[in-house]
Order: sequence, then structure tokens, then C-alpha cells
Amino acid sequence: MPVFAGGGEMIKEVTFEKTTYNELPYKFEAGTPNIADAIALKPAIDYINKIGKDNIRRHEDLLLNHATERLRSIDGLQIIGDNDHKVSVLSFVISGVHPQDVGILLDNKGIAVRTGHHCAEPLMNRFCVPGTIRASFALYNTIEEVDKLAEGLAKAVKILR
Amino acid sequence: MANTIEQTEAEIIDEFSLFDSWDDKYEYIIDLGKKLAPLPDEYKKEENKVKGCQSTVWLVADYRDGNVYYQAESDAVIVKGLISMLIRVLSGHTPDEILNANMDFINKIGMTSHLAQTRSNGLLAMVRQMKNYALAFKSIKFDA
Repeated sequence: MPVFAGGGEMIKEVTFEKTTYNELPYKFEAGTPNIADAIALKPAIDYINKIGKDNIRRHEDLLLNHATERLRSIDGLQIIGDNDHKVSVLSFVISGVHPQDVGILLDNKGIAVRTGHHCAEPLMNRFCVPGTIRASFALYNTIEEVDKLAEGLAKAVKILR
Repeated sequence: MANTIEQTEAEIIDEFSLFDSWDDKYEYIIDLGKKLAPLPDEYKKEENKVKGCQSTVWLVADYRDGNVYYQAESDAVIVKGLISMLIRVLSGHTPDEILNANMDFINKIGMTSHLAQTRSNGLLAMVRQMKNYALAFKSIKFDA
């Protein structure tokens, strides 16, 4: 395979006659390796360990339960996937409203959700779901943000219907 | 005499300059979407679907008296509003005029920078498909 980028460490020897490239994988890893990310990995792990995985899980469950409760009160909203032990993502559809429209309006309010098939197109086709809206909650999200999501959704539905 | 493509684009840019916020812009686009004439069901076929959109978009074109006329629909209302603007700008013009249109108004009203990239890709796919129709009608014209 020919090289695609030149830079430090991808060369073995250069003479006027010919250039020899380094062995794999160095031949394809020109220039400074991604040391910043490698260094950042340790503080990232320290951060998670300091908070503790159990605490993170508890916080995520709190947000998920609150979101589930708030969103269920929105007229025509159906949650897709209601396993007791699911991770803190909430996928849903709203009758009479297209997921993409909701996504655009929430985006406009600074609320990031994913919309569409979420790489599960055959499954969604099987169940005749045209796509869903999906909110994910993590350790850095707050109850207030979940409330903002619920309010943003209620407003979007009102404009769109 | 009907507007040129540039004149219609200027009109839309002018209309959008009246809105202070994106809330108002979106309400206007949604309103356009709700008003867009529905596409007859017989046109809602696989071959009329525009690829590259997250929502389903059907687009058909008709060639009459040297001009291209578009009809389209989508299951998403904001998309319908965007289509409605594209139709307003391009429909009723010659293939050459359509192919030469730079569609700058989409940038100037802030649409491309405001939509997330995956979503603005769909908008560009619609424009491309409209131009493809124009190109197809242009080649038919030369054959005849």
C-alpha cells in the first residue's frame, strides 16, 4: 500500500537513489502521534473514579426517571423501549409530528437530541417506525436540563401540529 | 413578466430580514410547509424519493413550454417549508436558468449555518435533485 501522508517516523532511509519507508504501522503514522489524547485519558479515568461509577449510575437513573415521567405527560408521546434496566437514553415518537422537525426546533433552543434511525433502519422498518427522537443523559446533565427538554418538546409540538 | 430566479431569491432574503429570531423564522417556514399543496398519492413512489434526506421527500418535475415545474412533498413540515421556498425560486424557469442558479439565498437567510450538517445535507440533496431534473429536460430538448 502506498503511503498517504509524509512526516516524522514514517521514513526508514532516504538517499538520492531511493526512499525506504518504515515498517508497519509506522509507515502510516506520519508526524506527532496523538499524545494529547493519550495523556488526557488518565485524568478522564481519574475523574470517573473520583465520582464513582455507582454515583454516576444513580444520577443517570434519576435523570432518566424524571425525564420519563415528564415526557409521558406530553400528549401523543410514546416511549420506544421500556426495559427496566436500560441505560439512560430515552427514545420516543410523538403522533402527528416528524422527529426531524422536533430535532430542528429543539436544536434552535440549544437542546441537543438525535433524530432518525440511529443505525437501526431495518428494525424500525419492521415495526413501521419512521424514526425516533432520542435524548441521552449523562453525569454532567441536570434535572433542570431535563425540565428544559420537556418544556421545549411541549412547545415544539404546539407549533408543529 | 414573471420574476427571475435572482429576484425571487432577493424577495425571500428580504422577507427573512424582517424576523428578529430563529423562532420567528421557523414559525414562518412551518407555516409555508403547512400551506404547501399536497402531492397526489400516485407520485409518492420509490423512484420519486430524494436520497440523502432524513425525512422522506418526494419530488416530481414536469416540462411544459420550455419551463420546468416542480411539485414536492415531505412527511416533515419544516422540510416542506424549505421545499416550498425552493419551488418558489426555481419552478417555472428554463432548464438553463435553473442549472445556472447559485441558490445563494439558502446561505443568506442563514439556513445552511443554522441546520446541523446532517440536516443541511438533505437540503442540498433537494437542490441537486431539482437541478438533475433540469439537466434531464435540457438533454431531451436537444434530442428532439
